[in-house]
Amino acid sequence: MSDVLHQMPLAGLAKRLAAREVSAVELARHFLDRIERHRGLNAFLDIRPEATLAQAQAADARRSRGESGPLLGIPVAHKDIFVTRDFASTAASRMLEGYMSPFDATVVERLAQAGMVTLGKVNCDEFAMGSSNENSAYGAVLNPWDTSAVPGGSSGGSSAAVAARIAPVATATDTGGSIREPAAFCGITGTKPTYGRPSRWGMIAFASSLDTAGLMTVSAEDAAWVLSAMCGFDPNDSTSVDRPEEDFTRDLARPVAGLRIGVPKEFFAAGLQPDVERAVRGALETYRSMGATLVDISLPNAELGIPVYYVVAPAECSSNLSRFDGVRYGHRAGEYGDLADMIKRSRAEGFGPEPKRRILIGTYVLSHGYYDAYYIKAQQVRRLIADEFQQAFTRCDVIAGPVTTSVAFGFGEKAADPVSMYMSDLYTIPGSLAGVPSMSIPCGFGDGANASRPVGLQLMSNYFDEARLLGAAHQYQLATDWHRRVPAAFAG
Amino acid sequence: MINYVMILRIAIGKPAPTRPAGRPSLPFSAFPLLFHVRTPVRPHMSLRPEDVQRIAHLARLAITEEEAERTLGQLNDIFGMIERMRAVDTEGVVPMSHPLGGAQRLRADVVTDIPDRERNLANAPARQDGLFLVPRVLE
Repeated sequence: MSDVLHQMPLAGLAKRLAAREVSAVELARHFLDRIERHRGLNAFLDIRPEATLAQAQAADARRSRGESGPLLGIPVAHKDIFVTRDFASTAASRMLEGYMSPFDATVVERLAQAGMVTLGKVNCDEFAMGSSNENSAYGAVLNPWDTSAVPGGSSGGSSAAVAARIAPVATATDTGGSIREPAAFCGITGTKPTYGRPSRWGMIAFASSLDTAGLMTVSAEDAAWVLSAMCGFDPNDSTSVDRPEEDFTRDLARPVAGLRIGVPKEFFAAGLQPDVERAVRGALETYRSMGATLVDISLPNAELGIPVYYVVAPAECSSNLSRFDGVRYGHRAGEYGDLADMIKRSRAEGFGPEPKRRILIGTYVLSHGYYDAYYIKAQQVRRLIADEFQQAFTRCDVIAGPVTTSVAFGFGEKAADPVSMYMSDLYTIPGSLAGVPSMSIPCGFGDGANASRPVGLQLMSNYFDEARLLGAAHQYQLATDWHRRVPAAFAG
Repeated sequence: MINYVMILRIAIGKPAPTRPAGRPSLPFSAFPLLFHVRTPVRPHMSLRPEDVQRIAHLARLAITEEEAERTLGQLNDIFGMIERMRAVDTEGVVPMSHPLGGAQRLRADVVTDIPDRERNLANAPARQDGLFLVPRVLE
């Protein structure tokens, strides 16, 4: 019986828990066993079974007292960007090795209040900076579909854990594509809500005007349940949106007949690999056959997203990462002279190459004489891009296209060339700059040698339209079974 | 023409764009549009090794000659890629510092939580008598 628990949708698990056919402790043990069996993936950075089982016992006790809820007793893995009291929080950096937070991130706390049980912390690119997970100071995560391929990044541990069914749900964060790209590469459902919907409190900051918490799940339906608990106003986050909480499952059953799907021509230009295009066009055709209307749209400045992003994100990163000085927490160099030397050496030793590169870019673009030419200019072009989305949404309800130009690439293929790595986020960055909700859902596999590497379909909606976005994704998943596929080595 | 539009925006009470959290204010930040001095767009000059050392110093990052050398090429590639953005005409476009706009919310200046001193100090690389320990800064 328990061998199928990791293949069940959340609603199925909730039903089993409610019927007392399985306890939260049994469910946690089932996933902890699977995590242990698949340690080779390197998806988890910190596992503390005693902490997990204590949370599971607490969930069972709440149920015994008459509490209920769709997430009570459901396990979740947290990206190591969220700080947690019971597990170390490192941002996959040597800088924060062994760091124990005095508090839980708001996202973690809200999910705990809903009764979710923490399985542990999952690997990612250092400080969420990367597109392949190769920037983790603790080694890269393997892609469960093809262990010679990267799982994507930065939320590669989250996507691999869900793809391998060693966690039913994982939290993730997206700054320029860090949820959608790894979700696409691992053949699962990745959801980034509107910027400001989930709290950034306790999310180790990278680029504050872009950082958005979200989820890795098997299906859009699972995402809708968890997202409903995760989002809400938080006075501790200065950019948190003060809006009533929502039930994001409310439009799941809404048919897509009449839905207007915008297809941006720029997302199908040179550079898009034929196998990805075939799978994505196939998904669009499925939508059309279900009664949706395809509308040709244009986002002419979207291609400037990458240069804009590589000014804005490093600028904010250099500011945010200035807090790591080796004084209050984090790595301190073993040998140093005066205080300034201690800070410089501690940062040089604690940060890996990618955060250092971005700190240098950011420091430069914010420095005297360059601030207007780079940072202000980038913020202006950012607005042009965001305005184009608003124009597009007058003609369509959702926008659809590829998530990435290719299926998952191999380890080492792009590691030596930052610019080619940065291009991985070509189609995801525009939505991040605009701050609109966006998802990746599985829609097929690559061709030839890439036949075991998944392809993702990107869906975006206007601000605060998550319910409709999730509904559109769910309707596709009712008609297809790509999201139910499990890599053979992890099915049993 | 552009400045008239900007002045008008302030005159009619449109909020001035806010800076992202954590970025220190620059002089005149309360009226960034009125006092905005346009920097002429000039092609990006390739960075030199000493520029990398200077930036690293500003960023408080110790960097070896060899690292600076290796980083130099990568930074120049990245700035080459960024160059495309600088050619766009953005006359009159209000910088976007936050996807949903609006001013940053302020809270009442009151104590909201009781810091757990022991848990906070537990992560310190060096501590003494309940305090964070740093090298001597005053003789």
